[in-house]
Amino acid sequence: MASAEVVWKAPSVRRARAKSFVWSAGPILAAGLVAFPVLVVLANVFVPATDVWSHLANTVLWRYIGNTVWLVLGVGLGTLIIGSGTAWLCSMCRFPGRSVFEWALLLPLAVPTYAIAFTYAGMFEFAGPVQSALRDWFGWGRRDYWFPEVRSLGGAITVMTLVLYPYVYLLARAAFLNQSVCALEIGRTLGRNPWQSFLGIALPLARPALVGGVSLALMEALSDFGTVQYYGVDTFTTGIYRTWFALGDPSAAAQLAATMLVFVAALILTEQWSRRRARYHHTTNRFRPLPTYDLRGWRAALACAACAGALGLGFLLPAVQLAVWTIETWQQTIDLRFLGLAWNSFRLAAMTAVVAVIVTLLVCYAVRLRTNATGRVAKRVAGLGYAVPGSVIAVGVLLPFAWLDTAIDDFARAVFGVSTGLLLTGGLAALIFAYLVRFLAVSLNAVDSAMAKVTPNMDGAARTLGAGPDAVLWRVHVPIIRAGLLTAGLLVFVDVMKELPATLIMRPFDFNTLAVRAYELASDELLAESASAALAIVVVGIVPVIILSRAITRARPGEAAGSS
Amino acid sequence: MPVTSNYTHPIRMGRQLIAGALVVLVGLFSAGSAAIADGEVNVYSARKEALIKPLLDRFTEETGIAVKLVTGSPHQLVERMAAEGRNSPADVLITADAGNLAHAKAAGLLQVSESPVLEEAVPERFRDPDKMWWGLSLRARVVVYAPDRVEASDLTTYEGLADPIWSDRLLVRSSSNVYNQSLIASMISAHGEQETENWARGVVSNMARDPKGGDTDQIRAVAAGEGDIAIVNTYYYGRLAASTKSEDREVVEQTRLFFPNQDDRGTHVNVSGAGIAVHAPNPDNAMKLLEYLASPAAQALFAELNHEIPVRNGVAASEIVGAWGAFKQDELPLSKLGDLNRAAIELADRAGWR
Amino acid sequence: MTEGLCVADIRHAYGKLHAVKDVTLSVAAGEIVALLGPSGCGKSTILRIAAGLERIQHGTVEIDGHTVAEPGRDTPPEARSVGLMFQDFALFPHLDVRRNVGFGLRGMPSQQRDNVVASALERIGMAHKAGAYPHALSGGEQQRVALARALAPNPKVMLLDEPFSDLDVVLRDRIRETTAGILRESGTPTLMVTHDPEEAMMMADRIALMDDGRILQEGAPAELYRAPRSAFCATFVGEANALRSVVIGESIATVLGQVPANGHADGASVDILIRPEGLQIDAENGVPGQVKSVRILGRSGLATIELESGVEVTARLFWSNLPKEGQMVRVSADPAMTFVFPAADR
Repeated sequence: MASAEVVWKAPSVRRARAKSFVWSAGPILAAGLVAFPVLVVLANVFVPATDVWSHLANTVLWRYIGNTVWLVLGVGLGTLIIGSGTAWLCSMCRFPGRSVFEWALLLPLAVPTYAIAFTYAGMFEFAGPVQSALRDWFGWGRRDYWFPEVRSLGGAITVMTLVLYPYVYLLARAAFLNQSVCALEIGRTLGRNPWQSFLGIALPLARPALVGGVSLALMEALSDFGTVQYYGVDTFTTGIYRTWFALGDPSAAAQLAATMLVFVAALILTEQWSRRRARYHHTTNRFRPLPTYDLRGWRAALACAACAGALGLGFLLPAVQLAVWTIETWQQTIDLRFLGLAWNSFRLAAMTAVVAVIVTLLVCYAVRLRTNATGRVAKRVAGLGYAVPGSVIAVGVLLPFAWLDTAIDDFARAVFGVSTGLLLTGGLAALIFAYLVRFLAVSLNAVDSAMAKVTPNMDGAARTLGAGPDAVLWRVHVPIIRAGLLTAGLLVFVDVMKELPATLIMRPFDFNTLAVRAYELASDELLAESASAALAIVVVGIVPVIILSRAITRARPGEAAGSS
Repeated sequence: MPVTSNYTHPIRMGRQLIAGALVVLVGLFSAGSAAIADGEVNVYSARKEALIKPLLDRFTEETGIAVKLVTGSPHQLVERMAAEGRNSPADVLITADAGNLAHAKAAGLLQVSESPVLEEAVPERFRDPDKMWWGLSLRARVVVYAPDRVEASDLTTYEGLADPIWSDRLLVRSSSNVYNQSLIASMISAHGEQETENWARGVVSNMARDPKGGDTDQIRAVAAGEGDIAIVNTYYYGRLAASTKSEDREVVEQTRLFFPNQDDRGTHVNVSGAGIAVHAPNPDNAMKLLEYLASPAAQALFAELNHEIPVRNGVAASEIVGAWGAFKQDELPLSKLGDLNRAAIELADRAGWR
Repeated sequence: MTEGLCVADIRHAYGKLHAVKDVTLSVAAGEIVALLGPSGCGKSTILRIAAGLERIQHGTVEIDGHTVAEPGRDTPPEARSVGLMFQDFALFPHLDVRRNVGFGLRGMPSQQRDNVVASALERIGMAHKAGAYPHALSGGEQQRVALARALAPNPKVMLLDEPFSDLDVVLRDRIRETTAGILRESGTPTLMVTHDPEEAMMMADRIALMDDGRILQEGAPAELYRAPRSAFCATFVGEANALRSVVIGESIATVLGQVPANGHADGASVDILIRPEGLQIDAENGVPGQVKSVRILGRSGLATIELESGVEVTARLFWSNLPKEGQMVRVSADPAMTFVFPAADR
């Protein structure tokens, strides 16, 4: 039908309809799949409660709840203050060292929580070098002085805050950079100083981002096992482990997990609610360079010290301790196999990041295309995995996978007389799926907030201009939200590098990662020996973190478009 | 339909992204799968890689049978075996305590392994009466103390640790640790639940600090003076003694080891052991591996690697462990520990032993 | 083959809210039709259904005689060949002006596409800004680019959704004129949604006035103005003095004198609407009143007059006829500018 007159033709109606169907069903199905393991865990709620519950309620449950609440409050407040404060300083003020702090403040993201926990305990515990030196110098005995106990609730809150604040920093900074200049300039003309315009204008405007960042930090804190266990703090997560694996009561453990998920769901709903109220796209299409406050004298020193403090305590100190231990032990720990571990960690993280970004992009876009409740709920539940402790998720993934494998095997045996064995379980696919379940929340958050910048009318305009749903995604969304996709991928990458419990239980034979190595040695009480693997995680993680920071700086609207 | 270059850059970028992603996926997706072929054996081990791999390597050298290994926490390995069911690739399950082997047996995950070789090598109380699992190496739960602050004569028994003379002096890790659970289980077996709970309360009230860290941390804390006595496993102490680091050896010099209950039932011991999976695809090789691990050569390696005590009579302990001398072991059959494990945990919860 | 757009029997509900209740409307080739109504009246829904952005629930949409939507069978927007322009223009921020305009021309040979884009930019006078990004354009420039982008693929139907309401008042008139010119020149049947009667009157050949999901009246702008079919129509498209009275026999007594009943039944309660320009100074037959205020609007002016009965009315008068404030005058109503409707419940 290529006559001379026909210069172009609209896409065929039937194909367009088919595509439209695929779009409505496929990604929702994907979200449902990712949500499934969480549901498997939650399904245990319907198993009748065992006598373990009364035992827990009579003995340890209240301590779990108390510690968990304090942990959430402490880490929430701590990450909010450090994250938003440093983000404000680095986006809106000029002071010596800002250009370094700008990206360096994200570095603690690369430090696994358990690694900072080990290093802080190693340095500051009673038998550690700091307290020993104090006792030597002053001739003190055990009861002659007071020193904060590292392995305590306070210690756990401190170390978690120090490595988790970058989530808040990341999102807050992006929000500050995206803020309408007008609001800030009005603030300035009204005579507000930087401090006042931070508290009065920027913080309230950035609320959705702050809530998003804090809830990511809190979900990670809630699901943490290594730190709280090592610090002897009983939380819901340690309780879940103890009930499931030691008391051997999976249903009671899952009921504990479900209780925690309700808590998390409440957190997420709060975030949703706060976002809905603040659902404003940029009111103006024009952007000018942000006005910055020049800090001088003691103000500059203070700003510099605040950023240096966060960076030093969250990254430099633990990294130096890890380096010292690595130097002490490198002869025993670093060999050719170590390279293999690093490669395994890297490729798992890279693969998962790619898969997570693709899945997230498709799911977010599909939910946007078809705003039905099923899709939104599936997406929500798929994001819950982040708050569930890794081991619990792993079991939630393991059961359906193994069931599927067995079903396939049964079928093959019955029909072809051949056993297919385990096709999925114990392979990398299952492991990567487990990572997806666990970390999809991170990329969902990043992609969602990026996609909110594409107005629905842009979709409408593109569709009527002849672009099908997939073309709109590739030609409009992907280029506009590029920075958001990069952020999502890199966050997932860094998280997978650090991930432990799911890796431990799901990995194939003879497949070790840096995190597994670090954990095995550390849990065998060979802290110094574990340092080289932990340090390698940090080193491999630094590169994406730096890329991430640069991407955000460039993602300021207008500037991004101008440079594409 | 011609597609031209100048306006297509976002799409090209999209395609490149997809192509790149595919290359990454395909290129990186090559994972080792489970060994089902002959000449191989698959091991699920709760012993850390560093503490089992050298033995497995030696086995491969001697028999030509390749070993594939996954390590993890015992509970999770058991969960994984249960989930995998009939198709589980696991041949051998290795754990670092008897309780978890008993748990795997109760879950129907182990099979009977008839072997005169093993029966000869492993004393009866260190193995399952139904021959489903076999102990391979021993560790004792002992007391480490600071000789400058503790009269050795004050140390007698586990029961004595609840005595108020140890108030604010005792260090011990969390009851989440299976070694403490086993110790409590052995106390229940000796004295019944009620008396053991009173004892546990006494232990808790004597603690110099809330339980935290591992056994090595407790030993270090004794040396540093945070407490005067600590309940720990022998091999951690042995490891410090053998350390290349001078500060580790200093810790050992500042402390002493005490074997409790020498005058009655003996010091509590536990085993690291192994059993053959019920659906083992390579049961013959699995048996060869078990028999190898119980052989004098492998037993000597256990002793050397991690300062554990060989189960096999006549195999010498490491030089360091040997120097502590012989001691009387609690005769309690270890299969009992698994039965009492849950009761031990609940008891610890009630007594406030975190 | 009927050229243009035809939507028939459209009904649409969002949950329990019935946004559109049975609307039929057509736009012929070369015609600009305005869908006019207050916000929330369902007019944008019709536009979105016509574009394919909203799934059809009841009725049909035809473009050039082909059915593109009926319940359960929606042709996706990309296959309908419609041009759509939004209030916020929705330019793609990552593409420069040239690529924005060329967006809908995928599949066209590049040489030809370059030509189409170039001539489209020429037509809107934006050739010099071909390489600029949207954030660097003024509102009026963005509007023109959006128009050019929608027209570039030569759509069978153009749909405009409040296309001028984001613009400065100063720009608006000029841009309306240019836009109408470009649309007429292209001959593309155009459906425009607006809440602004002045805009509708100025641009459209035909206006469909909507309220509460229904089309109340359809016709040329003058027809709507001169012969409104209801009180709502009368007041929505222009100002009017509203009076209430009762029919007695063949006529209605009002504060402005007798008005013919025009078929309204004896005893019926009625609303009488009189356009300001329908009031005239009439020394002979007029009703006396006092001028309260006078506003001069160029060649005409508005006089507020308090009648003897205490009712205030507004008259639009030629400047030479404008009375002074405080002056006593007599006014009468022009029957052609006086509309009588059954009294609405207030």
